[in-house]
Amino acid sequence: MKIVGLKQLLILAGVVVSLWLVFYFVSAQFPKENSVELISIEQEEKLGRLLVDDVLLKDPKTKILNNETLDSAMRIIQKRLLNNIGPTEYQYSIRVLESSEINAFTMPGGNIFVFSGLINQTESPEELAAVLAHEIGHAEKRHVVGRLVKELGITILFSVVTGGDAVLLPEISRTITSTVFDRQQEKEADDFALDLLSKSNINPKAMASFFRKIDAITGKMDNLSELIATHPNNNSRIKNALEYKPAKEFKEIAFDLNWARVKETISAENTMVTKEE
Amino acid sequence: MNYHELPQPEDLSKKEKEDAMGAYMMMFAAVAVGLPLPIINLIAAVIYYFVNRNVSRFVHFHALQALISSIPLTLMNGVGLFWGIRILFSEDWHVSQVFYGYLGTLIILNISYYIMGILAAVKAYKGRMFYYWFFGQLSYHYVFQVRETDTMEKKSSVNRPPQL
Repeated sequence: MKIVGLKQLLILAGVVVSLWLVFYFVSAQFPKENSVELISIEQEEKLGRLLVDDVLLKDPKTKILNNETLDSAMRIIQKRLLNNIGPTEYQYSIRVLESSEINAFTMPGGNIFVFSGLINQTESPEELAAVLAHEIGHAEKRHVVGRLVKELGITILFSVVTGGDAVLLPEISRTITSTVFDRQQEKEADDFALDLLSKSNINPKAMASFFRKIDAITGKMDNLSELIATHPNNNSRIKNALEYKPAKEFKEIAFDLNWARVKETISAENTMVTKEE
Repeated sequence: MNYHELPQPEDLSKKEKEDAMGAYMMMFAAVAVGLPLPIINLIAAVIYYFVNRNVSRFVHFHALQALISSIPLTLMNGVGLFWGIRILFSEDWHVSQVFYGYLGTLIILNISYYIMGILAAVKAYKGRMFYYWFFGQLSYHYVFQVRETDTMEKKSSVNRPPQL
């Protein structure tokens, strides 16, 4: 049976698909307004330095935790992750802030901060590694700059990174700590973290176990931490982590750390609390 | 397959020509109302079709062509609108290259559709046929094909001219 107009229908469909493809490729040629690519890694690192040195560390409330046991543990975890991250343009710096909040955040330029309250809630170094891998994911995917561009606009960011408006730095810092990543960004950071954990011979299920713990705490805590507030839909994230299949050659290598001892040093009275200058 | 003979401009009344043109003009009238909701164009086209399809085959053809050609575009516009709203209001949806591609396609298709609409309306007013790609063939086939019922009507016709 001859179908009336079939040939013309196919040509029309072809025209529509071709148009779509043409515009698909044409749209890639235009630099997007408010695109993170307009801020270079060097500019981002400079912004990170300004924010950390001139705002965060100058805040009297900021207390960086330093003690030998903690530092050594952080170094071991950081080294394992960064050795397996592959080519990266960031010089990562991971520091512990004294605060009971269960939180971690990433400043531009690969500056990651973990709150001691979060470390206290982890049961193993693997769980902390999962959180750090997630934060590294945000940095690698340039979510932090993306969020700043979205919230403040490219013009303001440019004026700061080119040395002009230092008065805006506290505002930028506030934006970073008070606004949230969207779900897609969280998912991207999770997926990055799961891959990184697997490559680093760390069981990706550590991520699920930490999320589950956070979920359990959520109901009991009044000061709902940002980590929880900004990470919606924990159930799907736990599921995502549990369903993650590491590469065939994956072999778990546990951290040789006395984690209870590390946590003790955080809560111990004699913890040296210094303020970095 | 047999088709009825096509009416020529001189065979058509002014009203038929105007009604045929109206099928396309309806689209322009409805677009002002329907811009935020693309479905309104379609509803207008459907109403126009059912009101005018029995006027004559010429009007039926143009009304049908205007109607069926607006269906895919209306659907595509609807998808574009839904997509855009989701991007605006949902955190999970983002502007992407695929969306830009779709948006560009929609713009070109809509512009082409309106140009074709004007051309078809002018032709229809002059009593001419005007075939859109695919939709023209489909409408012609549907309206002008000779059906069994057409011949049955003739057979059962009671009134005949007198033998002169």
